[in-house]
Amino acid sequence: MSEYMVSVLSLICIESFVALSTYLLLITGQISFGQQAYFGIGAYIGAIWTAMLGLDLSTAILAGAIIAGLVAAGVGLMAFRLGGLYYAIATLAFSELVRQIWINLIYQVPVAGFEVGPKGAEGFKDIRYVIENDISAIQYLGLIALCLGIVLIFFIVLERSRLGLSLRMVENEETAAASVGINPVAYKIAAAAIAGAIAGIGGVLFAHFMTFIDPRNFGVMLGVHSLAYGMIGGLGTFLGPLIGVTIDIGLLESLRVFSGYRMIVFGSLVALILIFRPRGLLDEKTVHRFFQWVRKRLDNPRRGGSLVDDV
Amino acid sequence: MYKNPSSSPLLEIEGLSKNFGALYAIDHLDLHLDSDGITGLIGPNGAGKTTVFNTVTGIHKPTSGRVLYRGLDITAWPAHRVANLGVARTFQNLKIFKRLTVLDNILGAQTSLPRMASWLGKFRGKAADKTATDAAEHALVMVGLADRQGSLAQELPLGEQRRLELARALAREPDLLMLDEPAGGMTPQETEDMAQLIEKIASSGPSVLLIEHKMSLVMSLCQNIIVLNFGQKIAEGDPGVVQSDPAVREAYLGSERDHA
Repeated sequence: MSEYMVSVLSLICIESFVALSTYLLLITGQISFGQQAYFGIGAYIGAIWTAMLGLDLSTAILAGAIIAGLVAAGVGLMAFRLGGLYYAIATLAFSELVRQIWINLIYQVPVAGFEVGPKGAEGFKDIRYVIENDISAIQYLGLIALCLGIVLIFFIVLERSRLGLSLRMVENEETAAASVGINPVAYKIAAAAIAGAIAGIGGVLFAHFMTFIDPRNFGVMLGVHSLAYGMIGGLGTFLGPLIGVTIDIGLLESLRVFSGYRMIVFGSLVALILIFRPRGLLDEKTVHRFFQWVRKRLDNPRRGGSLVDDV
Repeated sequence: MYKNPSSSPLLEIEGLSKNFGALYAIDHLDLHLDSDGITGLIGPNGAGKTTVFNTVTGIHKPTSGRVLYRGLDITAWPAHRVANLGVARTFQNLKIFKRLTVLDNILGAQTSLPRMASWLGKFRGKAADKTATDAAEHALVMVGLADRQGSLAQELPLGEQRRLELARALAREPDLLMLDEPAGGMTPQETEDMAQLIEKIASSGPSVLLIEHKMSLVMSLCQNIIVLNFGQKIAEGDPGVVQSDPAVREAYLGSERDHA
């Protein structure tokens, strides 16, 4: 695999964490423009953990996840009463607030003769854990994939479990969910916390992939993109946001075919999909059809079913 | 869930008011519901029937007054806590889980579903947990939707969506079942089927409180009818009593003076 390929794949995987984080909130009925805040918290916590405190990366990932998750739970507690647009604006405001903290945060300590730490708008340089520990790019990609794999297993279990069903019930019809004994507030805050933790893991991995982070990495465009990933790929399955990321980073950004026109193509794609498939390519209906088809094949392996002529 | 009824009535409403700004949707309402049978809650449009439902089930907080369920003060409790006491309801403007399958609509509502019940359910079309699925299928058979369990709820026609919502309420195994216009928007044939269904349900357990505009349905089903107008109770009694009550006639048809 070429070095370029490895770095593109690493970026796709890292971006997937934010996309899945936003997706988890979407399937709970919460539109967040602010998951980049938790991505940023993860990145800064992770960088402080390894570069300043000299601790190792595995605990940095845990710390990033836990702290981002806790902050997200706190924000969730304050914002759950807000519906729809108001919630979206609150998340956006919070993420900008966090970004302002990064811009103003200057705290450096000497490590082995160098000043290391966040230096406001100039960013946080020399996050050298990966280099110092002789981890190759491909090995690091393996680590990212491992973490992503764990998150994906969580989603596979989630979408088959009562928790996942309850989240979707809250998203479908909150009042009705409450009328069958589900506490929508508890589920929304739980979803916010888990989503924060997932973005936090991505942030830690991002910081160590880049070796240099900058407040501009955590701007609103990241949040807008991660929302768009779910909307493009579809809200019927967690594979939706992954498809969204792959289309955007894998095709538009990396292939350079659209070079300067990337955002125009991406924006048009979002607009078109919103018009023709409001819930994305792999929407609930498509996913449902697919499982019905699989079921038919399982029940009747010889003949198989058609994806279209069902029920 | 709380299967040993004490001496307290099933549902008691004392001096309940709910206003939206200057509008009194319910105005010092007293209401008393004993166990068993079907009770009708009727009244002209805007009489406050749905507001009574919403205030009892925790969707609205009352402005004043008390709601007691089996003697327990549940005033202003959140909806999920009221639901977990054994109160189930349907909604006038249908609130089904549209993008979920018919079966998932029911499974998600069950009170005793293990956490992983729908594991592999998407492949097999059934929950791995046999008991949960059996109970869900039972509820679907009851309302006549057994053959639709694999469909997405949004694909059902309106009449079937109403029955799905009813099955979802049944899956809660409620002691008090509150139905808000279960035959709304239905054809005469569908209405007739719904009437039989409600009768069957009521004979099998829960007390039913029924809001309905179709008078033939109310008069044939209910042993007791409560009539509301402008948020107040204007009459109560069996169908014969209510039908001949002058206050009820006036509420529905207007007084002689109005037409003079």
